[in-house]
Amino acid sequence: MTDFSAVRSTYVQAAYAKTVQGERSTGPAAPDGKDFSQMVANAASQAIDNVREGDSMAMKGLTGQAGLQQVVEATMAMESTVQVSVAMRDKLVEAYQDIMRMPI
Amino acid sequence: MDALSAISVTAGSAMRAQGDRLRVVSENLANANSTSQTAGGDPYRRKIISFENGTDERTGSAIVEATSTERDESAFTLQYEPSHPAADENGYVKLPNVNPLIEMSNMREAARSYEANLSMVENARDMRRQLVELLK
Repeated sequence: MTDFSAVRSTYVQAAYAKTVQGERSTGPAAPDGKDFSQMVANAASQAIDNVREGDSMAMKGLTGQAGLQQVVEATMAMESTVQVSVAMRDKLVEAYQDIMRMPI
Repeated sequence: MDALSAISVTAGSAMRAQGDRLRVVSENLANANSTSQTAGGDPYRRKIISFENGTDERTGSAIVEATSTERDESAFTLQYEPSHPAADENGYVKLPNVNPLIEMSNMREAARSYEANLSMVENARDMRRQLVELLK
């Protein structure tokens, strides 16, 4: 019994060391040198820009400064951005909840 | 920008171009009976719109642009009507070279083309939606 747990802990330690090492080696060499949170932040700000553009175009359309087709195009771009960001958010929240529910 | 989003740019430009085309058709049809204000003068000359292939700078995809509206240089039809204010010294009035039949078929073609591009946009949107469904 003790042997088995000792073996397991050495395996776990080896795996952990490997992961840390792997992370260190891939960390700085990640594409564009950006980490995940930065990527998410960039995507989110881009999405917000898209939504704002759709919003302002809709206002312009209502006041007669933009054509109907422009309004429709901007609104459709906004729609697709919102769809993607909502789906992404759901996925992220789901992942977070999965981790929170994980039995320790 | 991905291909599905670029489709909406291309198809949108085509829809805009067909809208311009329909505007020209409507101008021609509205002026099908517009004669000259002076005696013996030229009446309304039919307009012709032409399209050109272009490139969208943001997406790099091919788009269509309405370049110019030229005038149709074909001959006017003459009608004998001496009492008309626009009649020349022989009593003939020049009528516009607008053929309503041609204009109507042009209109139908513009409407069909608009429809085709609209369903293209719809299709691309549907495909994008299906792709996002994968995330859910």
